[in-house]
Amino acid sequence: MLRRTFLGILGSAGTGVVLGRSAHAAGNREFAGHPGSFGVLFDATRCIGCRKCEAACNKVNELPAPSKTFEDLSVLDVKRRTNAGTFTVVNRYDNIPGVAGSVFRKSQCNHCLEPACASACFVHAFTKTAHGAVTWDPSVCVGCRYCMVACPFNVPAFEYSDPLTPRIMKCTMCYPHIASGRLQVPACTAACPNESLTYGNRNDLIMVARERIRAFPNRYISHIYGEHEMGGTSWLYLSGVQFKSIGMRDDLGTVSAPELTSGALAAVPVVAVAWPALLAGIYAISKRKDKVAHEEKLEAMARVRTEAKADLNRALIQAEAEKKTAVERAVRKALEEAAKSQTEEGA
Amino acid sequence: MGRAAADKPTGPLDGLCRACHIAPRAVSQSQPVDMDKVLHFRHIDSKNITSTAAEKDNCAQCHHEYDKNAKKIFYARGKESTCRYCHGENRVDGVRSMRQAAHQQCVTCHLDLADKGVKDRGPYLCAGCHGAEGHAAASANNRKVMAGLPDGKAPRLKREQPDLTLLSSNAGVEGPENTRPRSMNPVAFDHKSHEERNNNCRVCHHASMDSCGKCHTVSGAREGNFVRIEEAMHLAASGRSCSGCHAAKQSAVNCSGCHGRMNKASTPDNNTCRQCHMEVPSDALPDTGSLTPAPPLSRERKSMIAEILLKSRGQNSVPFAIEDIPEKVSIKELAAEYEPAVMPHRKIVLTLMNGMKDNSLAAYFHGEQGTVCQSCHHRSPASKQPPHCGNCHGKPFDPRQPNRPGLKAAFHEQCMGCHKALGVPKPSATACAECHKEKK
Repeated sequence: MLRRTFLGILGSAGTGVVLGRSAHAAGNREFAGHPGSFGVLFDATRCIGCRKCEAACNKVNELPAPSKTFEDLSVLDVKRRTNAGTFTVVNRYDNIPGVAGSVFRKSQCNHCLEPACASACFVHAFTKTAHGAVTWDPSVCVGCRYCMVACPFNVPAFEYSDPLTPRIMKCTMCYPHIASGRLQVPACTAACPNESLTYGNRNDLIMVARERIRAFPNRYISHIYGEHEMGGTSWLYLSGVQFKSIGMRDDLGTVSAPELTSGALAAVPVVAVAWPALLAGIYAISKRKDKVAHEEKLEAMARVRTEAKADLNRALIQAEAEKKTAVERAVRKALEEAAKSQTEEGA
Repeated sequence: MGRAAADKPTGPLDGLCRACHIAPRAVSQSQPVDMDKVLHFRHIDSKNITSTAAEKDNCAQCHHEYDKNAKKIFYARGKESTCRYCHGENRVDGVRSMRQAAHQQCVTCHLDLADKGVKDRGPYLCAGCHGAEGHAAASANNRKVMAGLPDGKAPRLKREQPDLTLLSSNAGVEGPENTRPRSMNPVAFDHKSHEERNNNCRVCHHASMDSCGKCHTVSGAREGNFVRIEEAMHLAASGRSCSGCHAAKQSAVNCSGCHGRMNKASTPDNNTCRQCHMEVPSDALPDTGSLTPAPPLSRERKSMIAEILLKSRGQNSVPFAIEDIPEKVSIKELAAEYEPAVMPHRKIVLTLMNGMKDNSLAAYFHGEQGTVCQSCHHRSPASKQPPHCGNCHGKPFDPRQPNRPGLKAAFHEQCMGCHKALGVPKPSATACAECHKEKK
């Protein structure tokens, strides 16, 4: 088999594996989200920074109690990020040019339509559910933490504090609670006094957001963050100020992570299977090569030995002959000298 | 051997152009001249501007028209206009630019007065007109002059403009268009009060002192840059349209509590049109029984009709009788974590009313009973007993009504949104217990 043909088969096998698992949303095609899937629209012009969402999240997910209570708004003096014990945080942004007062922004998992965490996970521990939430399956996770590296929003967190059964911790959009019927809507959205968080069908939310921008052109910038960022997210954002000024990345582009990395990452499961065979084959080939070389070496040595022997014999025969000739010549010379002396005496 | 080659100190060498040629950092401090109506009045009123024998007032000293045949300028009484109508940004067809015209006219006159030793003369150095200190001096003098006047206001310009008039879509149009019935009721317009509220005529009369309809015809015309009369009057984006200017006034802090939260994208309903395009009472109509003029309505008739219409508008913003405004409203529907919120309803209404007390624009548009109430009690007819908020606002996130907030958010957004817009510092949006006590 030609090397090129082999790689071609390897590549197409990888794509096949990926396309066959649409729920894991890692492919070369654009995925516009599961039809009817849910999302949350965050409106920064309504958020007052009361932290009710944080408190509700902490309670419903039975997360550890924070060192300062949720009523203590002094925690907003420093920028925080989500961690293993906190699925969502609200941050305050001051001194934004052209804005009197502060702007608040809630952050949590954005539940990408095509999640980078899911595409990076080689055991498929992450699932983009038809509901809209991106969930994590502890039964298959091997704890490699590739998801943490892959996430452009720095969301998945690892329970470093738990040496035996550490979990990947992140917002679930309350999927387990909604699925079990315990909650109707995510806890944070229900707790928000102002509907800064609106829960609903993602398509409806985009319409709601557009309507707000249209009705209040001076209040909002005309951009729905998350509509297209990283291929689209289920959590959407409206703001009256540039998203960069409230700590949101504006350099992510509109291509989903899997679309960017599927070529390389698609090969991972295939390689996991093919690699041992490939290595064994390479080993066998090299092993055989060694054996052949060894045999050839022995053969060559034998040949060399035979040839050397023949040469030696030839040399011995020649030496014998030369010796014989030398003796004959010496004898003849001696005889000639003897004859000569006899002649001189006779004279 | 050069100094550089000898390794001695030198001036700038090749390639160091900018060592000498430094771009000037200074930004011009020159400010535009504001010939507002007070400064204009001081020119009219000045005894130092020499009047001709034929014209007793000072107008003819500056205002002029151009006679193309005689190739000279002349004064035409009643045709005084803004200099900029003719003198534009650049010199065109021999007509001097505004800059040239103003410098030659103003500075020359001020210098002449200075030569004569007149003390009360205008500035002739750049900073006198274009500098901050010159502006400050002019403003101080303006105030001094105003203080000496009977009502503290500059007298109106005398250009035979009406006090009250009717604006209609085909006013001033000659020809067959004028014989068709008008499509809209005319708008009663208080020209006088608009003069008082603006610094100069150009705010509205941007290209000529004629009536708007002369250039802005019903279907648009070249002389009006194809801006239709409807657009000229209503374009929200334009600062000189009626609607655009009035909308800009709504961004004042006192107005923004209600108006800042109103949908800017919705098309006004028919009732909004009627606010200005009022029905003319039949007894005010001319003998023909119609406004379709043949001959056109006289100036007096227009003024009379406008007066009747404007008088019919509430001159003070009237809500309901004080005892009909509930003093306190307790919001109980949602009390769960917190006790019911007790809202000082009457105090809020009175505070809003107080904020628009001296605002005649507000008085005109809020005149009907209950209009002010409808900012909070929206989307239902004005009434002494408006429906409960919970009639429309129920559970949040109703997929059938995704744009409609739930009851809790409706309350919070309403209160907090208005407080934020009005700059009410207390209670802070996160001080929950200041509006509703925590349940123990």
